[in-house]
Amino acid sequence: MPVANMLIERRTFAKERGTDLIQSDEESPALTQEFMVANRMGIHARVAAQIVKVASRFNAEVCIAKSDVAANAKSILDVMSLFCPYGSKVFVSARGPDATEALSALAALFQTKFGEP
Amino acid sequence: MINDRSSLTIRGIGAAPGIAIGKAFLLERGQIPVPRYRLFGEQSVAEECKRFEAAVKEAEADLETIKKSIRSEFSDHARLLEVQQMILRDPSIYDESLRYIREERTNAQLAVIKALRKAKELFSGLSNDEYAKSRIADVDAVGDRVVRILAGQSRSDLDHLREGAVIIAHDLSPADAIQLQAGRTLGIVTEIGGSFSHTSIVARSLGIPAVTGAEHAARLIAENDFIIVDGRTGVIIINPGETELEFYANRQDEIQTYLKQISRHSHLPAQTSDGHRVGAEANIEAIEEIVAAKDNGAEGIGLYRTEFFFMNRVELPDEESLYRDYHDLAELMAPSPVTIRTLDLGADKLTSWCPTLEEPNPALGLRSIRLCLHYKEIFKTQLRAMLRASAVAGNIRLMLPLISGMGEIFEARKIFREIQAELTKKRIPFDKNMPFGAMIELPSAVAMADLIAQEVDFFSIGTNDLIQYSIGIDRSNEHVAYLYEPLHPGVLRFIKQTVDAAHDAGIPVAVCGEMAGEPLYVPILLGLKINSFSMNPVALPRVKNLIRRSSMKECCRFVEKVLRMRTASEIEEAVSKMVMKKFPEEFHVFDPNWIGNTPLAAKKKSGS
Repeated sequence: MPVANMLIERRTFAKERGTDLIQSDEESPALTQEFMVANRMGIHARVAAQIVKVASRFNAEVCIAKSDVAANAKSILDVMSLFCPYGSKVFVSARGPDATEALSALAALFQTKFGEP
Repeated sequence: MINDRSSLTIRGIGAAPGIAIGKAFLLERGQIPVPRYRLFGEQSVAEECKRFEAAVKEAEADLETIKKSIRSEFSDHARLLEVQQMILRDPSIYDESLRYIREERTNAQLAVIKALRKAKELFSGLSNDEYAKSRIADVDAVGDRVVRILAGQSRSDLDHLREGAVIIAHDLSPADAIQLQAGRTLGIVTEIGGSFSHTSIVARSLGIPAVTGAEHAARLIAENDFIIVDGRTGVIIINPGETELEFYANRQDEIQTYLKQISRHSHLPAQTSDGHRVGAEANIEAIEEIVAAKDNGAEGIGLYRTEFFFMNRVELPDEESLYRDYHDLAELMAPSPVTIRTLDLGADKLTSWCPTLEEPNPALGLRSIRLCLHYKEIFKTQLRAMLRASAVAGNIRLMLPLISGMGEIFEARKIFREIQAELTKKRIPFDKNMPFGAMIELPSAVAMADLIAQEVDFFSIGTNDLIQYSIGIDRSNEHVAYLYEPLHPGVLRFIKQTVDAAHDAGIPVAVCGEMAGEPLYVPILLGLKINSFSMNPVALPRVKNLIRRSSMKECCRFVEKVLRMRTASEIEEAVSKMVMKKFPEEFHVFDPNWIGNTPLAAKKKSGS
């Protein structure tokens, strides 16, 4: 699915839940990267906690999306509600002054499989 | 005779052995009355916000305290508490609650409850039910904590259990179970759950006596009732009379002293006084149990039940996750052996993947090896994962359950060879000498044992099923349960036949049914020349102790005599006499009324 479409659908969803979504605007474009959940247990509660901890270190808005559902990466409930078992494909996007740093910090988490087998 | 009229005995499933005597502590959930009122004036809104923030802080601190007191082997669970701490501060709960207080002027308790309800909706649409349920349980646990603090009533929380008590609950959530502390929790009684539920596993690993599946326990037992819990027989006595109390208090004392004493030697090899060496291994169903197995002196894993990984999930586990599991297990146990039993489930438990079958009698239906040979992909995935994991330390043994004859052995062997060839071709390493064994638990397998022994590397006798199938009874059927007789002469002959056939073919025989973990059967099984005993980890110190104190010569002579007896009761009597004479302390401590397998409490009840 093209990222643009994804963002639109995500917005619909996020509105319902009262979560702010990330929109590219001229001042600060949103950066998006795709990842696969590679640890065997998937994004379970403890992994979700790691994601939230890392995302919360940055000022940027950070959001994780799976198919047409998006989650605020700074809310553990949101992240856990995505339900990403092993092999899920997710999009992480960030927008704000430190968006690049936020995205690379999260990329490191996904790439090291959250320190899990 | 029961002296005290208010005394009441109920029964559940003995889930973790030991005796607990103490006051009941009822763990209730969602029973706190929630007041609802509107706040007037900015002043009261500000105060309510402060009250809410203070409650969250207190809840946070409580969680921190619990986290610090968790034993290191449960560090994963400690991280789950961290998750709860984060949920507390999650915008959907924290900010939302404050918003309700400020904007809608609701009181704090109601605000939290409203926020919780909304937060839980996040999980309602998820496809994976188990996952959603446990996340909702996490949210509830957090909400419950805050609401209780706001209500000024936190005493029903496990972490507020300051003095030792017996916990009574409908069920324990995983979050509750990990807060259990051996010092403060004397015993556990739950209304639902079996011997493999989360509660039971944790209780066993902590050595806390537990009874699960005790129907209506939470209704029949009142807070602070004085109760006795016998985690071996599943008996619970509410407000016991003096006689009962004295009896159980003495037993509890004796058990503790005795266990302490024998546990000091549980690391010694399982060798009889006249130098005959046998194996003493553990039956486990989750990798977490390895600690308990090793602590209790297990020389290996005699039975790893792989069903745990297949149940309660929407999709079949993939090869990779099975591989990781078996790999970790093999690595943690190396160089000791790990016997992995292939999937031993009935079609009824696999409903999410295979069509529901109309099976009037599932025990005689499509299950175990039959199911694996029917749905070959499941079987292949498991074999591939096992073979790959065998490369780690070469200590994995494969074991096929419910073998009825040669046909299944040939078919399973063929698939096994195919997978081996496939891995060789892909240059994936595996242990080429991985032992291939069969469980003997059907009468037809006993009859064919001499031929099956030519084709496999070891036997393991599953006595629970062997007893049920050979006597033809279902032991959960109360009308015929009395016929479940491990010492039935027919059963003993079957075991002997199996051992003889195996030894003629030069392969070893293990017993991995409950019989192996029952200390009183040690002389019989030794005398029947069983090579290895595999049991629940907690049974190891006692069984090992008896093995070390037995003389192989005497056991063989004893079994010769026993095999000439005609009824189970005759044999039972001979065994009790023998054990009473040879191991008076064991007999005295654990089962003063063992004869006929009826514990004292049951006798009293039926006799009164």
